[in-house]
Amino acid sequence: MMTPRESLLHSRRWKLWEPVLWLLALASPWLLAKHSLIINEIAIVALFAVSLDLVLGYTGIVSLGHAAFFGMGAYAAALFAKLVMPDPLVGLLFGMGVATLLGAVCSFTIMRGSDLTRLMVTLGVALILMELANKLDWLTGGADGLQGVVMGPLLGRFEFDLQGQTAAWYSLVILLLLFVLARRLVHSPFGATLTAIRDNRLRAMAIGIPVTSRLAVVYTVAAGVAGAAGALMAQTSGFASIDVFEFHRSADVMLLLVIGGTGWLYGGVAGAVVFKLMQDVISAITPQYWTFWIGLFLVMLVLVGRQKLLRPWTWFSSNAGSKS
Amino acid sequence: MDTRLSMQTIYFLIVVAVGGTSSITGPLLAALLLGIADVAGKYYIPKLGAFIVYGLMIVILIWRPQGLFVRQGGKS
Repeated sequence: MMTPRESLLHSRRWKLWEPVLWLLALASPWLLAKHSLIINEIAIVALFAVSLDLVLGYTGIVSLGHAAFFGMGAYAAALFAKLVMPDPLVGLLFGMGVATLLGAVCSFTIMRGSDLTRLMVTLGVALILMELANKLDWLTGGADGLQGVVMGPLLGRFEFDLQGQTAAWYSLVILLLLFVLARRLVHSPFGATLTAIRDNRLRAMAIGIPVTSRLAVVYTVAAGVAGAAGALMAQTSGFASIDVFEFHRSADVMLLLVIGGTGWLYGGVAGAVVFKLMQDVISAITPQYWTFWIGLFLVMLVLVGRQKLLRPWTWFSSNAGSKS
Repeated sequence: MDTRLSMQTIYFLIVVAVGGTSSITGPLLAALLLGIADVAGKYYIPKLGAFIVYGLMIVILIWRPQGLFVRQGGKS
């Protein structure tokens, strides 16, 4: 038997497969040099999904407007590179800072009401920011997007190339760093209180967890992580358009979490890999109808359940023992 | 097209969230209110555009998280 303390510590210990996975991921731009662009994209989307998982999976705040922070990070980083200095790391920090500030302000909007209220308020914030980016065309370039963003070399040495190898490494390293931070956060006592709030808010309040401040802090942190994802996207593509605030971006990242599983940090990463690869492969086969197949896959996934879908050998056995 | 369709869905959701999910007359009144505010806003202050609907929704939902037309004050 394990004592509660041991079992708590056990769940947060690094498993053997985790360093292997990350080493493989870091080696992938070198092994699959031709696919560096999509590796970069997967890393960015995975980071975005990890950020939403902090909010949705661990704290239970539904949000359909997470693109607000993603877009804020993207525009902040792109504008910083264009107007102030082209160094990527400083720009990344600036993008994260601006998105964190926005998250701190927006955290007041998610405290009250039902899930529908939160869904709509977060969505409204993202839509307002999109309108702002559209209207402030002297600053953001409006519907044409922000063009002419030139990034300096990374750490003063590594130029961003057309192949996207540097970009992929850059995104993967930032993903790894923020993933480790997020992992540390959710396995800390602070993370345990977040899970308590998700499971039963009233009881969490009753045992003395400061619910409001915890929600505000986790929302702010997640906003910063999402801002980092946006900044990475703007920097590696050298471009920011109002597409970063679009509704489908918030919806896509929620789909990723549904595919990979919420309340589990690797869920976002797994969902990002599966979704992006599927999108890439299917849209290469049928450029016109790929959304149909992805939609069908999602409906199947939700109807059948992830557990069952991953175990094909249970499909045709009688469902006496397994119910999932 | 795709984006237009999702914009319509978003408008429906806004109306239902503002009106409150506990009654049928709530969303009806909210639809009238938001529709008039939207058109009047676009007519009198064209520069603001779509800000009015979204801004109004956020303000109303922060003020009354359960929706405008619910019987009792919501128990959040």
